[in-house]
Amino acid sequence: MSLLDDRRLALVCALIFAVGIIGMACAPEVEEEPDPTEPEEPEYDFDAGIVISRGEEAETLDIQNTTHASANTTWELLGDSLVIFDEEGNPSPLIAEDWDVSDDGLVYTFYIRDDVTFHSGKELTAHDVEASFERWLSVEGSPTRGDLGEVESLEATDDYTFEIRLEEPHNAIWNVLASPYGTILNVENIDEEGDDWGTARAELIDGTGPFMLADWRRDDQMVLERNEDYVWGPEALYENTGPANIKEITFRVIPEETTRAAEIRRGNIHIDTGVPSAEIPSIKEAEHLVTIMNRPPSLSFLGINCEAAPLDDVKIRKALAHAINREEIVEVVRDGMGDPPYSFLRPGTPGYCPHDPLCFEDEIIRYDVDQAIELLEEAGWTEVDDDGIRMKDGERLESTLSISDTETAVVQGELVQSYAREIGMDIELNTMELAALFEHLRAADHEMFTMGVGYGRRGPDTLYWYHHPGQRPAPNRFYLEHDEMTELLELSRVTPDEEERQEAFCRIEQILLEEVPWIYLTYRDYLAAHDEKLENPQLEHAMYTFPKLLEVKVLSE
Amino acid sequence: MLMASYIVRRLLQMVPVLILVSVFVFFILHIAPGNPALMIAGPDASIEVIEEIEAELGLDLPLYEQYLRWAGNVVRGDLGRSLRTRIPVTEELLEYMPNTLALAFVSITISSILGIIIGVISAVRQNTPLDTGIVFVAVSGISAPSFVRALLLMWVFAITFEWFPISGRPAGPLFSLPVLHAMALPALALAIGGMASLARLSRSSFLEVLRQDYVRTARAKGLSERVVQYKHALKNAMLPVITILGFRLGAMFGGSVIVETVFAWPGVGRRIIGAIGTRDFPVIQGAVLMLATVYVLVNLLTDISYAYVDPRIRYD
Repeated sequence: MSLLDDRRLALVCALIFAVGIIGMACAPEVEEEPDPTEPEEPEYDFDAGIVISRGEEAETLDIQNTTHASANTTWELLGDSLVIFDEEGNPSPLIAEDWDVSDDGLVYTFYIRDDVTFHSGKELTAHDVEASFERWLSVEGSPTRGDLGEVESLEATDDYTFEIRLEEPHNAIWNVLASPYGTILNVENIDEEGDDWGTARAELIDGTGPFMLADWRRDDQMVLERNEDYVWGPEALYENTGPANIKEITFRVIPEETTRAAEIRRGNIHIDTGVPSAEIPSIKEAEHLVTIMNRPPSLSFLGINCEAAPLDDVKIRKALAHAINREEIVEVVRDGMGDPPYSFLRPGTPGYCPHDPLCFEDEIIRYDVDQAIELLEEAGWTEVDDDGIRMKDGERLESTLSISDTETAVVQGELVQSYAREIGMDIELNTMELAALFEHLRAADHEMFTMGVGYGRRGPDTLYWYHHPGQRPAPNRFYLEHDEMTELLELSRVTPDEEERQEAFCRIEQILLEEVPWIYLTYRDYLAAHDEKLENPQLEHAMYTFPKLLEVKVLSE
Repeated sequence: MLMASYIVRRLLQMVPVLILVSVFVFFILHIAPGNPALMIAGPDASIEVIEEIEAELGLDLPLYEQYLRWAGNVVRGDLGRSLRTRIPVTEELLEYMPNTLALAFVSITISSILGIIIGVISAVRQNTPLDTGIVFVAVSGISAPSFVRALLLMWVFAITFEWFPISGRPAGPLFSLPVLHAMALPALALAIGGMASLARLSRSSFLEVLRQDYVRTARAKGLSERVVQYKHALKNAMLPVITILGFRLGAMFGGSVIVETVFAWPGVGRRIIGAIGTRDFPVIQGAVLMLATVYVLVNLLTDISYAYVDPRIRYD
């Protein structure tokens, strides 16, 4: 009986177990209680589009024939170059997965990826790379082809190997190979369209980038769509190598700064990379906007024609440099958005002096009016006329400063004028429109001028462009004769030894502080703003290298 | 027949006017400092690159030769290519011009209707507080620069009340609802100046007509004041107003340069501003020539319309 009872009991248990199993399988899934300590996983809309404002239209998309900032930004998204600079400024793979440079620095061999296609679906090979470079060298008046150096030959040695042979070493070649100017283009389309290529039919703009040109209404808006086949994004810069996490990008052209700021505050624009100073308070107050400070490698400076009296005397140049209060200029002219500069390269940018302390520490010129006056007196400018202007042999200490007619340049010029006045130097401002100013400086009849330079692309090689005698009348508008500096500038371009190159730049910085052909005025910061619904737009360097927007995600509404 | 010969004569008179405009604009542009090749190549370009561009664009030729070459092409209907975008100027202008003409059309329509209504009300209520108020507002409207009007309208109606888009031109046909909605504020910004001067002119013209003998006769006949004012006086008061409508178009084109920039409206005015900054000579010359042609033609239409408004005028 007890045995039977045991069997019955076992049967009942088995039945209960089986029913339980079936019941569990059929029961609706019980939702787990969310753990309040764990952050909720955000949801993203991968079919969303974003709108970016720009102040000026890209005049042409022929990237081999323009240096326009809007064209650069567009081609960061539409195309790819052979290599791209990583965060430290070193070339890293993009279209080329690897490369060799011959010991003599004359032959660059690139090994091309075999999985890259153009937007049109055409497979990219080394022959396309060769054709793209050939076309670049043949573009009449191309403002960038000279950055390649003296090219002896270009050759696709097989389907996936491309070779550039130079007549002389040219270290700076990486700057242009890694920039949008070096984008590999589908030349077949260019041949088809002739002169109109880059300006007319959107479907002929054929690149390999993460976005494709879908529509372009000039001076109004440009629409880019995601390239669904894109998987070759640069690993050195992005975790997501493609495709992008957003479906569409619209660039809206809004020239007026006030209007642009109103649009982003309203939520119609999602990214503005250069918030105008006057609008910064209202943009920072807007709750739905996130702001990011950009500290680009750029500088505004006062250039001096070292052949024009009285500035042909280095003591006068140095006196003026000591008289200028850079901290005040940053406050007044840039609304505090920037830093006072004491060297050409901004601390922290690639190429900046690696020594500690700086190898040009002793030469740094700081604000010191007494030192300025002492230098002027040493130079013989000891008499003072009724207006408080210093004199020497009956000559007044005076000069002319040529500036553009923008508000920033005028305020900056007036400040310089007042600093000079404090040490007894009379500066006349010669204000003119930008186009007229460039022509005036090229004619070399200037004494002083103010200008800005961005060196994100050329890096320290910018010093070669600005100070090598072969670059007169522009961009070398300083006319300083200095054999040692010229030799060092040339060495920096040809030496295969990176350490020697770095030392050369340090010594050049030192010479520039000793000779004062230019006076550094400000390192400028820019404020970028984006809508809070964008995650990871990577705008930290957007003012000089626009991101490929592979990481950005849009939070679902 | 007489009218046809008058039109032909006026059209022929256009030719020297346009030649003078083209010569004036061409030489002013070329005499002003600023080299387009330098603007294309960038301020840091080498002499070789600049010379290459100058040769490619024909900027190295003597000035008279450049003009003759350009004028010869214009006669053949070719306005050249933009130095910056490389697009044929005709193609560019055909892209931008409809937006500007539509803006001018809507703006003139607003300013005419409202300007005349306000002017007539002001005249009918002469020397009342309403009249004084209208005169004050009209003078303020004439005095305020177009960019102030544009920013003020944007701030009130687009930013504060959010009734209109802040800027831009939606895709779609010119007179579709979304485009007209976006066009409202720029058109109003342009219209206010014209509206104010039209109101002042309508007022004085209407008052003058009301003092005429035939108005007195009409009143003596026992006609009601409403019939006297709106049937007899108004039509005659409109003649000087029509004259100024043609001239207003020139002011509209001038104002559109600023208003189109503020509202990011892709029109010819904005294109000209960009072209001046970069010294894009063919675009400036082509745009000015085209605007001058439209201006002269509209004034011709204005003259012709006199005949219909005032039967006393005959074109013989």
